[in-house]
Amino acid sequence: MSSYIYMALRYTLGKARYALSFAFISIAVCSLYCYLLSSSSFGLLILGKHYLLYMIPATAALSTLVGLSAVVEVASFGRNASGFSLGAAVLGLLPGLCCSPLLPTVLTSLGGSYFAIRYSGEIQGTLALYGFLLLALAFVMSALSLVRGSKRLAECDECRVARVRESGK
Amino acid sequence: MGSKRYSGSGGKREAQKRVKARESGRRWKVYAPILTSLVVIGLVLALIHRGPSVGVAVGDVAPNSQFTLLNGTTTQLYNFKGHYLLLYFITTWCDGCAEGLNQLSSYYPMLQARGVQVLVLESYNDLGYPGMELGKFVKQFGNSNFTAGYASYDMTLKYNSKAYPDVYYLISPDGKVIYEGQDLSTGLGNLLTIMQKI
Repeated sequence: MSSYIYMALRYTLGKARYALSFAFISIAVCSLYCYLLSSSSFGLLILGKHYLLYMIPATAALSTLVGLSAVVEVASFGRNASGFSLGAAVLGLLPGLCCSPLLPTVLTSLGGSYFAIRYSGEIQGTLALYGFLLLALAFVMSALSLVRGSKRLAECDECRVARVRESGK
Repeated sequence: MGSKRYSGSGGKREAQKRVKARESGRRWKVYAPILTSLVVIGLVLALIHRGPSVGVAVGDVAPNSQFTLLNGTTTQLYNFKGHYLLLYFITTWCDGCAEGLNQLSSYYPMLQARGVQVLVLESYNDLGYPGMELGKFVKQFGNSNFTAGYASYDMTLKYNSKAYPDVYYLISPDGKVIYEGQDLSTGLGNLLTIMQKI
C-alpha cells in the first residue's frame, strides 16, 4: 500500500499544476481551520492552557492531508472518492464552529431568537463535546481518500493514458 | 477500461482529448466545492463580524433585568448602577468563553483601577446544552472577584437575542451601554482601548 501511495504522491507532486493546487488548497484550508479553531479557542476546556501547542500541528497535518487527497483524487480521475476529501474538509471545519457566531446567526434567521436561545447550545455544545472525534474522522476520511485515489492512480487504464500523455511518451 | 480501444494514432489522439476533457471536468468537480465552501464561509464570517449589534445597542440605556446569583439570591441589573459594569454573558461548554474569562482575569488589576465591576452571567439554560457548573467554571478560568450568576430567559432574550456563546457589554455608571461585542477573547483589545478612556 505504502508503495503505491508513494508513487502517487511522487507523480502528483511532480507536476507543477498539481503541486500548485496542493499548495493552494492546503494553505487555504489551513488558514480557515486556524482562524476558526483559534478564534473559538477549541481544545481549551479539554487540553488546558497549552491547547494551541496541539491544535496548530493537528490543523496543519489535516490541511496537508486534505490537500494531498484532493489532488491525488483529481489526478486519478476519482469519482466516488471525490466526496471524501470534501467531506473531510467539512468535518474538519465543524469543531471550529462550536463557539463561533456562525450557527447562532443561521438559527436566528431560520427560527428566531426563541428558537436560537433554546437550541443553539445543543448544536454548538455537541460540536464542542465531539470536536476531537470529528477531527479524527476528518483525518480518517482524508487518509481513506488518499489511499483510494493512489490505488486508482496505480491501477486505472485512463490514468495510465493520462500519465503517458503528460510524460510526453 | 479504454486502452484497448486506442488503436492507431488518430484514435489515440481522440482518446487523449477525451481523457483530457474528462480530467478537466473531474478536476473542477473536486476543486469547485472546496473553493465555493471556503468563499461562502469567509463571506459569512466577514458579515457576522461587521454586524452592528448583538442585542442592546451602544448608546441605549441597558434595560433592567433580573438574574440569580451563584448563592441563589435573585437580584437585578439596576443594583449595579453607579459603577462601570462589564456584563459578560457566557456559556460554560464554550472554549472561547473560558479563554475570554481567562484573559479578562489577567487584566483584573487594570479593571479594578478603573472602577469596573465584572458581572459574569450564564446565558439562559446554557443555551440548551449543559456545560460545566458555573461556579467551577468561573473559579477555574476567571477571578474570585468577578460576580457570577444565571441570566433569566427574558434577560438572555434582551441582551443576547442571537444566542451567541458569549456577548459582552460595557455599561456606564448612569446605565448606558458604552460598548458591546461578541467573542471577548478576540475583541478584548478594542474593549481595553475603550476602558483606558474612562
